[in-house]
Amino acid sequence: MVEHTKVSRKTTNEDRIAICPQLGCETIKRVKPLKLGFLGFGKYPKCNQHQLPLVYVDERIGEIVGAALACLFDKAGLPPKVLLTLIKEKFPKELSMFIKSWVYCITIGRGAPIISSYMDSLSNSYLKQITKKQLKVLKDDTSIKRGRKKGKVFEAIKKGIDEIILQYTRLLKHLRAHSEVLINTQELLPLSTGLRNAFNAWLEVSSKEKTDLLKIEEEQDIPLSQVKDYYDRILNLGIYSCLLGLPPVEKNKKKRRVSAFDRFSAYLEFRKEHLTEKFTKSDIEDLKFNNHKDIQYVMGIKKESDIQNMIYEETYEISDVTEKQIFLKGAKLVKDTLLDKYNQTKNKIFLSIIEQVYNLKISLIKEAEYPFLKPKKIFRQKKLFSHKGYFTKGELGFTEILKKGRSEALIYKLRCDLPKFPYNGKIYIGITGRSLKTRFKEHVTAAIRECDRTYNTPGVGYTKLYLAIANSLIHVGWNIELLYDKMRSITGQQYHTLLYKVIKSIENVHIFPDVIELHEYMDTAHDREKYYTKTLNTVKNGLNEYEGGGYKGKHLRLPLYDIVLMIAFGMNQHQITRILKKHNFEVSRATVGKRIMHYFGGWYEAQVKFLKPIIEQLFLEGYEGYEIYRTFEDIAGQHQATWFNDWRWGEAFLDFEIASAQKILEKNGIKESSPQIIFDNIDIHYFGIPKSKWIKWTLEDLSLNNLVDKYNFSKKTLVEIYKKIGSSHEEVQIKYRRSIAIDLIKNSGWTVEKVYTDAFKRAPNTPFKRIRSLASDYFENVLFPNSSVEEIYKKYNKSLLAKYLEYKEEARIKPSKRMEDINNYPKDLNGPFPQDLMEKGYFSLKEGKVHNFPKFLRYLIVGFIYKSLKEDSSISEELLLQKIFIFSEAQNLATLNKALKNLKFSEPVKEYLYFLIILIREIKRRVESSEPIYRSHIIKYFINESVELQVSPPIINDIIWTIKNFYPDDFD
Amino acid sequence: MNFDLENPYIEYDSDDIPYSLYEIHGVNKIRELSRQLRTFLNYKTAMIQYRFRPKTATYPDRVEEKYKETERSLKQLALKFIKLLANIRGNSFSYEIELERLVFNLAYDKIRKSLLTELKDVTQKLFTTIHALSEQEIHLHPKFLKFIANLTQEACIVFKILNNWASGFYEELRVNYVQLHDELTLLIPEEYAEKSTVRKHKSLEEGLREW
Repeated sequence: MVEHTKVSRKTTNEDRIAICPQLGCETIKRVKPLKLGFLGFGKYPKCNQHQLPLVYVDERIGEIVGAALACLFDKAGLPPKVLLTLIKEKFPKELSMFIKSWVYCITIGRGAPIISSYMDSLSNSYLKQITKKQLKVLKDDTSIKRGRKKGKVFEAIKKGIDEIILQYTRLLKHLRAHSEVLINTQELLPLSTGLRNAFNAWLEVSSKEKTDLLKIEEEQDIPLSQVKDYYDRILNLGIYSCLLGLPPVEKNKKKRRVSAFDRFSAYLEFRKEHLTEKFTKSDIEDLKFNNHKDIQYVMGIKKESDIQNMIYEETYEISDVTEKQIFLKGAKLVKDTLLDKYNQTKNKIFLSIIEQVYNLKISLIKEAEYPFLKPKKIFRQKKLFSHKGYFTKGELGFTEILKKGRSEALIYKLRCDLPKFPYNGKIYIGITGRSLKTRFKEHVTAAIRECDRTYNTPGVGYTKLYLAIANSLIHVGWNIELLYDKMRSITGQQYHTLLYKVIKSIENVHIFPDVIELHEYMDTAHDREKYYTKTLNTVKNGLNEYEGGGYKGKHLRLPLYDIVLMIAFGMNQHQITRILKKHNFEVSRATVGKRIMHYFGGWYEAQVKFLKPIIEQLFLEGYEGYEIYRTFEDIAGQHQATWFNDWRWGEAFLDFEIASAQKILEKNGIKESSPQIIFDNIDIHYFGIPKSKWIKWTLEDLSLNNLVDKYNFSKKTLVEIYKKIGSSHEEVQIKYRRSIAIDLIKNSGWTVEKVYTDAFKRAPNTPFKRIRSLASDYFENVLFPNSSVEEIYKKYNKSLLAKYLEYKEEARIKPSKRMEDINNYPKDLNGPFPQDLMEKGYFSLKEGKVHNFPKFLRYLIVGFIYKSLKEDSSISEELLLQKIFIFSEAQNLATLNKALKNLKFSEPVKEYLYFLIILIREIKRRVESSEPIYRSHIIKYFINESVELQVSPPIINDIIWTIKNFYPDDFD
Repeated sequence: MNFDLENPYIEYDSDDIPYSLYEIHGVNKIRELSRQLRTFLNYKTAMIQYRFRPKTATYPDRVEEKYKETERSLKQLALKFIKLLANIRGNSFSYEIELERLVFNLAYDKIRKSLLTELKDVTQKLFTTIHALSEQEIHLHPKFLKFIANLTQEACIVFKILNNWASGFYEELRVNYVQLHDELTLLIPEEYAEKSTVRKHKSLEEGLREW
């Protein structure tokens, strides 16, 4: 739990809102700074009722939402096993569907609506504490920026509001992630009538029970864990209602005994006491498969021996374990480093990592899968082992201990039986701290992952054992290249089913696993492993690479849980070894590596087990991938040959990435898809940044150098990344630009020029005429080599083709002639209007002098106004002027065109306006670049553009006419 | 500070208090967010209610007058909203881009600004009406529910752009509605007419026999 800053009027320099930390207390106050820093009563405001120092709301709200989420996703929200037993017995076909439906209803049933009203109450009361003056400032976001003086006063209140908004978003994110990750809605069906009836009866009983529970809770002083149990049972009633198609909260019931506040405050306390635990996908799977034991228990058919065993198993319960036994000093050290980093940077990701690792710790200790540093001596167990401390296969008692599975280490043998293969009949000797089944599974997955899979032929560089396994797989018909891809593209139950199939296809067919010795503690196992590798000569004439053992003196017990948590924090092997040495564990890196191999199946597997879920959770919490990647890289530097490295390079995927790819495919109606199709649809993260973003950057013309500056990657890395996305940065750019261009031309009717400027963000502030040639050049030479713009239009959009041809035809005949005329135009600045041009119909003005161009322009604008007023007399002049200048600011002609189309003007006026803007822009450009503004230049430009833009001569006439009629003096 | 459920923050039982209670306080920022959250959860609840409805569920022949009225006003607002968006979009690629451009580039243009104000106003009213509907028995009108889930996505986009202070929240809300809409699409196929879900009242005996 986070420590809260206690409110002090001395230290605060602005108004803040604070509440009482006592759960259920409704005290909420505005805290003002002391006058002059020391005047005033109540320097440390307290709650009147509980006499506790207040804490700030914005620091508290995250925790409250955390508790609310803990409530929604608590394991206690899963269906009760007794109910499942009932269903399994009477409606076995519906069991799986029932569990899915239940999980689907959990969030709504367990009180998401209550959370909303709780959040509402809290934020409402927050607002109530704000003064009218503050409200006024807050109402207008911008005023905070404008009035710096005021802004300073309300910064903290605004920050508080921001925090509340953030927490709302967080809540929504979790709700969405719940549906996305845990449920496939296509599989949900309403309950059958029979099941509904049974369930209804169940609900009735449970509802009656609720009243009793509330009474007990009120009257007696009962332990917190029991209170939680009562609360959960009451909360779960909402899920029952949902499954029956009823609203989870009865609307008209006026007197409710447990208020929303009660429920979530209570959960805050449960969470503080570590009584809450989030459920995961595997917990849901377990409900379907592993409830056998419990079923027997509830059905009352549990044998006495089983109960004895249960007690035996329970010796590792969490309450029995002391901090000394687990030893978590290393993890604590890392945690403190992260806290320091948080204090320096105020980046919340560090806090989230700490929280996630903390959750992991709780569940790991509860499960107690790995031996503690100092295990409890179990009397019953001690007796089972002989004085040697181990049992060899064939000895009396071996089978019994193997069944009970309480030995700390075992030595196993893998025999390869693959005729015509060089290693046929060869043996591998191994040691593990877990079951042989788990270890064998790891061997198989590692063999598939680590081998060179090209063309389905495992090659050199492979260990002998992996070669044997891979060849066995090929022998029974698997293509390991495809298999590797398949295994990467699926998650959850699908993955386990496939792996099970794979293992079963070679286990006891080509590879024969066998346990040969059971050891009470790991200490004795190493020497025995060495003994076996030597006597059976498995290094030279077998599948082992090295002799086992290699320990001088006594076997050193390592704090496994500490190592696990450090892995979850993202530390590498060197760092872990160094930290362990700090705490008097004299070990080498190799030993740490070996221990990780024995207990977690290797460094890669360990990261998959412990680091991957943390990263996945951070994504769900809403952190950006790049931020997550950078944080972990900062913690541990470059990881080589690890899962993290694979993920960094887009080789390994997170579960949610695969799930969302599958969702996209399902949406498009593709049910059965090959791994390649799934990979194509995964938004793979390269260095934490999704592929789509890398592509977007290329589309927007962001070069490699820009990225080097922006994200601090080396150029080599960037080249490698783009190599993975396509073959190079340029290729990726061309490939995706091509497809986008086709889409825009085909479906949105965009011209190549528009695509060039708007979609590719190229050539900003370039005159339209130039864009035309640039765009066609780019399209014809780069995007669609060997095909002209005409052919592109022909292929994708015939309506554009017609326009294009028309333009081409016009440009072919007119420009040359016009250009000739323009070039012949006398350069005399103060000369009369060219007679010949006027005769040819460019100007209808007989004779005119334009001495000052800006003045000329002004007349044009006035002319425009005059014209527009004729069209719509209600438009004010001011507005029209504004319009002209605003449009002249527009970045390119395409947007201008768009803006013009939205205005309700007649066609000639639009053209007219268009034309004016061209002129304004040209003048502006000249002014900015200090070029002289000569009438001849401008008029040349004027005519040039009129050709390019196909402005009809009547319009030009019109402009001149307007000026002449309005200001005749200037022209004669 | 009242945390009890007895007084949910929008009382529908008492007709005289309108659902736009939120708006009288001036600053309704966070209040607005909590209402949005509540609305979304209401729709999610409605979907669950529809999904797990009993086979023998009786759907009313006559739609409640109050519901009818809200539905009508929502339809009107939706029409207005869509027209405004179309107006803003013009001939460009999407209204989203145009709207962003409007908000960030053309703040001094009075005409466009008035368009923005109108849009803000209509969207706000739309959200309020959507909320009002969510508090009623919308699960009895699945097709309309689907329409709302679709419409709200657009409204979220608009608010995301207009309310920069909570753009993250509105984006997340939109994605949630997309999810809701996707689910509803699977649940209610296109050709499935609303009327087919409205069943006639069965007699008590008939109902009991089926149970």
